[in-house]
Amino acid sequence: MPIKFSHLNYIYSPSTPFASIALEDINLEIKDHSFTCIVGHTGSGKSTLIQQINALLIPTSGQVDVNGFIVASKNDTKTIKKNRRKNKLTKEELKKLEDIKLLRKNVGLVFQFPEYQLFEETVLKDVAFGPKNFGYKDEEAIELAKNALNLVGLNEELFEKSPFELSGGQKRRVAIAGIISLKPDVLILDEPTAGLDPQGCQEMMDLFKKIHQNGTTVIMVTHDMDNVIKYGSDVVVLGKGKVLKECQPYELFLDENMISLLCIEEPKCIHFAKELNKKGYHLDLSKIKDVESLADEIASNKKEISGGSL
Amino acid sequence: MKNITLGKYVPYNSFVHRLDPRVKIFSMILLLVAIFIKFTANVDILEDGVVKTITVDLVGLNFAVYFLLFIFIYIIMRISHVSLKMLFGQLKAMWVMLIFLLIINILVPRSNENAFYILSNFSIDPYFVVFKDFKIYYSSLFNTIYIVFRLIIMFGLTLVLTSTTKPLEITNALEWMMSPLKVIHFPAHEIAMTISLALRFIPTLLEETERIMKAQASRGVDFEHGKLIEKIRAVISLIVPLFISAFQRSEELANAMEARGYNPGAKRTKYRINKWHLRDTFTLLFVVILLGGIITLSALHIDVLALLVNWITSLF
Amino acid sequence: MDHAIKITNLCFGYDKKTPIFNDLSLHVEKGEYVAIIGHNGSGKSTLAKLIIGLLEASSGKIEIFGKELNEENVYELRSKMGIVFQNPDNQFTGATVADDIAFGLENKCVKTEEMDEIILKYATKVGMEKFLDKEPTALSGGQKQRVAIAGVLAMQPELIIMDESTAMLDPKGKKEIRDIVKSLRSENPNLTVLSITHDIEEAFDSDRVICINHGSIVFNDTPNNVFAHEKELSLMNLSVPFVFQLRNELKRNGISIDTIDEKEMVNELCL
Repeated sequence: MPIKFSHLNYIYSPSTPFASIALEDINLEIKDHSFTCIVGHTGSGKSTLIQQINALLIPTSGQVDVNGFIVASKNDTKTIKKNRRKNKLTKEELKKLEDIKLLRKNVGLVFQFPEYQLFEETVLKDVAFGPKNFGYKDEEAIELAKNALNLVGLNEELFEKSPFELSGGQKRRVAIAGIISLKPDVLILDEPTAGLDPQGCQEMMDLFKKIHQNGTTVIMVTHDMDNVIKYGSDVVVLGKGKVLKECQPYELFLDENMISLLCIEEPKCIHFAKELNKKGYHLDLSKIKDVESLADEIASNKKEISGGSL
Repeated sequence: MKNITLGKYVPYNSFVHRLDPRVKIFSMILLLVAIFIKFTANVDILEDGVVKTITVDLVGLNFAVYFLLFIFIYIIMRISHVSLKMLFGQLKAMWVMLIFLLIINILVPRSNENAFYILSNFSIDPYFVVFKDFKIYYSSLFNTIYIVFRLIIMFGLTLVLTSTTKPLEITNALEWMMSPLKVIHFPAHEIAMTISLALRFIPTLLEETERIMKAQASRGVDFEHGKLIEKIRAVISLIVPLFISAFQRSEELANAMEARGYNPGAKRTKYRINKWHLRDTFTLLFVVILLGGIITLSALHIDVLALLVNWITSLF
Repeated sequence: MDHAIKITNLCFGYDKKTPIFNDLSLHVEKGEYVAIIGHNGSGKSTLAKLIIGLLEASSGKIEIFGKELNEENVYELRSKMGIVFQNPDNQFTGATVADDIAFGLENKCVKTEEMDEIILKYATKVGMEKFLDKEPTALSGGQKQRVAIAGVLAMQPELIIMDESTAMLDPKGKKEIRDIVKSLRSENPNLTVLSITHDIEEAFDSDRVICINHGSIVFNDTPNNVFAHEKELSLMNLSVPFVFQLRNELKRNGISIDTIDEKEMVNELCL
């Protein structure tokens, strides 16, 4: 289910002295089953953008269409309803239009430092909290919670512990399990690896990769370009509330203007590959995802070069 | 949450902004005293053949003074770039309370102290009949309206203070005012430090509240609708994480402060010191005179308004 | 040699059953830049709190510039040290940048008239001079950490402890903080820096890396020598810098490289 932003504007604190435009005329399509990374400066509107997708923030004007769930301002929704005949909406589609709860069930959003949302007495109860809210019976909710906890790789011994006794990395897993227990079609992640140690980061990202491979669309806001290149299928660059670029990850790092504009540090492996290419190598940047693939590319390229010259 | 403009400092460079915060707080207190002064007069009446002195409410004068005070505060608001819209925006929330107050005032039985004097017409506890035995006394209505006036003026004053003075300046001023109490080992400095830290963390905690609310909303919590039980659960899912993070913050903050050499008992110097200007003296003087005038007026127990109206009409 | 920090036979635990440190000894020379690495929960941050006297060791000795840390001299010794913590929000005490830098000065009883000059000087050093009257909510995490560093520098410490100061920052913020630390070191070679981190690239900047696991020292050597142990490090949930990773991966492909300098590596591959 593609996510379509059309002519979306968002203004914080409208009609006060503190009003500020957060998003301006966003037109964007996030592909089905993609692993889309959203990058940009702090304050470029990334967090504001993702919150429109599950209606935590409602656009000031314009709309987001998440497979028939339309997130739009009250007036706009009214207009859409008024023109239902013209748009040939069925009754079901009409009902879906405003069913925020169902939308939120289908679109899971994991905030930055999600461990701060834990509150129940036990890990299992905390994870089952979401499913219960969405109307699952107690046993079903527990079942979903257990599945999710297994998926995030949390040991069964910890299920009955208080979430506050766990380590930082474990807490985050529990919080993420709380969202994926609902099996959302779209999983949105806001800086999911912030504050974790390198190994924790890696494990976390591998988890998202697994979820993505199971058919979930993943949208990830991140500053970590290494993760963008390694895991991303598409990149959206935001700047000052506007979409600056939509492309594949490696293409972003070919765009020198964009790199200096965003003040981003290129992933080390891309930087290294570019240096080699300057000196006569012909590495295919689109194939380089991490150190491993870089080394493979170098090796096969070296063979070609030496093979050719011999 | 980000829409809260209530009591937020708005950086302008107006006369009021430049005033010493101590003057602003003092003036506010004095003006608050002023709005609680009621104007009354003593009137002799003949009751059962005996002359009796009763106190009557000078309704007209009360309203006149409230009106003048309101104009005065409106002017201050204009100077300090505070709009009427902001003021009435705050009052909107008070609505229910006001209606409640009116009902209470109507239902509570009254003594006949509520004699009235409107211009030259004097009457004891006038009322009008709604139906049969149900009477509404004018004094109930007027008392409610007084409260409305007081509220408007109080809100106006607070709004002016908070939107022209940085929270830190207010705390500093409070610390200065409480400093004489240090003699009796009153922890004036500690209290001021606590307040200023609390003020510093309000925006951070509001942001946090908003984030947790949204995070729980993503997990299907509905903070607006639902049964009572569901609402209680919703609130718990907000309060527990909020408290846990607040405790963690306070511990880290205490560590950071201690590591930077903070020792609550020890002597410290101050970075921000208020400077007293001539304008501060004049402002304070003006407010004192205003309050003095109002007190004198009320101590006279004369309906000045009636005298004034009589005098004006006699001119023509 | 003069020791900035000398820890001998340190034992500590939040409760008796689970000791965090058992007989830990280490030292940091004056003017040295030492990085302490270890995964989350290895006890790194506890060590920082012990050194600055926020926690008390159950046994063992901590000496700071030759003086043993105890309850009486903790305030005196603290005036020689500055610490920058992890969470940018929870160490910002002032209503504005200037007030926050002033906080330490107030504690030190610096005269009010002298403060503005000092504040400006150190704010300029971290590139925050244009933000003096800004409130913390208007600043990014990296900017808040820069203010925290300025607040520490204003106290003119001889030892700066960075307790995971970059962990919560975006890459840009991380880089800014790393650059500031580098420039401070080049300006003042006598400044001792103890950086507690899990950012491997940051540890790579240091003179010496101490790797802690389960409360004891596993490696204590130059970065190059420590990061040569990729396998051991990865068992401790730590990774190695990019060049080391690449060297290992190339080896797997039958290409052996000697250098650990990125530029030299490029040259070597082009031979």
